[in-house]
Amino acid sequence: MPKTAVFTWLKDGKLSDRIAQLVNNGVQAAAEQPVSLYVFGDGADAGLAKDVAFTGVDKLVIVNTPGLAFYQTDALGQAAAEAVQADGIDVVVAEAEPAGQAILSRAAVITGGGMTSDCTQLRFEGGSIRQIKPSFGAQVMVACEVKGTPAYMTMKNNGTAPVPPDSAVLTPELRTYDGASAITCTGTEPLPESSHLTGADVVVVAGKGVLESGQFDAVKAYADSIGAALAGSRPVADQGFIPFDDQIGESGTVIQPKLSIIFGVSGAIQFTEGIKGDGKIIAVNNDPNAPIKGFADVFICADIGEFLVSLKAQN
Amino acid sequence: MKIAVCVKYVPVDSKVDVDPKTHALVRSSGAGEINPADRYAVEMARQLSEEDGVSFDVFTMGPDGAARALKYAMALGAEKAVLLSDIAFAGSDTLGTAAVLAAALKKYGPYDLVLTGNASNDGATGQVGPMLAQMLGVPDVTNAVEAETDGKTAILKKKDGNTLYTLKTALPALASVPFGANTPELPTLRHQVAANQREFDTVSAADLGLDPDTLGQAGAKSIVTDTVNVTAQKQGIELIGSVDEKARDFADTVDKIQQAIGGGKHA
Repeated sequence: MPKTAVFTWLKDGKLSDRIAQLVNNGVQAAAEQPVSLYVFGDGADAGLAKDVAFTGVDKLVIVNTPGLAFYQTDALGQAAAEAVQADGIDVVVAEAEPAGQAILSRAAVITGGGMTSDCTQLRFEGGSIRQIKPSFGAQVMVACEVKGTPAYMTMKNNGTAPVPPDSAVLTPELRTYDGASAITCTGTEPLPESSHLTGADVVVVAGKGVLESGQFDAVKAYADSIGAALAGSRPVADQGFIPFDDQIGESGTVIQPKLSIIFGVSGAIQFTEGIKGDGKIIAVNNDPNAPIKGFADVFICADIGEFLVSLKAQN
Repeated sequence: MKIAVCVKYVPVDSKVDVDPKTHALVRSSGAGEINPADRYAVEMARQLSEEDGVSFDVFTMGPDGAARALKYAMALGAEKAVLLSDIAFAGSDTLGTAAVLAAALKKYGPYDLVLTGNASNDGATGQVGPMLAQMLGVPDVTNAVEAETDGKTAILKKKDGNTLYTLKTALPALASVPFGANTPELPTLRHQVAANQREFDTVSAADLGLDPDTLGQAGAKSIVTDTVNVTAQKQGIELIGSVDEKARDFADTVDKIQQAIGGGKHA
């Protein structure tokens, strides 16, 4: 059985809130066998053990990385690679977030391992790990496999259940990584709250079809009239109609509103990955076979321009 | 000071299919463009090259058509342009791609600063930048929205959530630039015409001294094995009738949902 480990990094001294879920992803990759958990971080010590006491973990390694922050990926990549080599780890599972992705990319190069990013599901089948992830724009998922070991995979949050906490706290193996980074931080500044979409109950989304029919202003006015927040798909942000922070999708903001009203979006998976939760979805599109139809609770096939004119006349 | 920008030529159409037999990406429409995030990397290089003594070169890996991505950067002032093209490169995973880029940068370099887009529009893994940095033995800063340099060090502003970090690193270094980092200058028609007439280098695996068995599909460690149709299709309802009827039913539906969730104008 491949030796499987979940890697996680403290950020600003805090643990990720997804560790229990990642452990479950690791356990699924390891054919329901327990996994090792590695916590890296500046000042990480035995005190963390009680916060990461989860079922499914049979070995806990805490690696103190004095002075290193998440952006010092040159040193943290080396620290991750050394752990993989020292312990003969075959499979590393981590969260699909930018820092972890950069750290593991570097560790993969150092250790000569392959890597698959942004998986949504791991399954141990026929002696190998099937990594399910969205494909490139097509409305299908693809299964990937990493040849050989070590194999690195990062996981998106796809709603995998977290493993339950364990009443027994493991005695951690404590280590220190003393490597230095070429990067130093000379200052930080807060940016304005990235998005007004995060807490919105109702979001109206404008897509490429809205731009093509010249109806952006009408959609915006409609959003205002029902008190909804306005967002857009990638092409709409690309052309400057909305700020990039208001772009919905895998590469943009992920929202979880109670109601999404989507105009003129075809519904490629990069977009639909940006709307989570069980809120209602209404989609209007001029293509009767647009993939968004399979994503919507209520679908309307109509010319966006004519539809909006008629809608305005209703009020 | 020399800067290298690594760009990718990606399909314009978001609809890329997966070949059911080979599991390779099928880009049927053939229409392509420079990867959107890479335009911001080119712009960062262009702005830095406004300083005396700073120049930038552009690299891309791909088939002949990928030269269009080079032409874009050439029209914005790239000095040298290199197309990394070889049938042995086809089907590369991120490690293979980074290995080809690393070999090319060593051949044409050394470079003080390497810039890439944060992630491609099609594969979207964001792995190539950090992998390339590791292969070159330099630090990487991803999501870098601003850069300044004195030729010895770089000050990079990295955006992470709601915080902007000012990071200082010795050169050489690699930075990857996200979509929307700056306002890219558009190439003028005159510069585009001039770029189209300029030569670029075409470089093969043999030119880089790379073993074809370690590259492309043969060398890939992360491979697509099959497609899985797991996208849940909702059994939703479709509103039918005249456009006025559809609009009326739509407005009613929105009203009802808004009342149920206690939001909107009827709250």
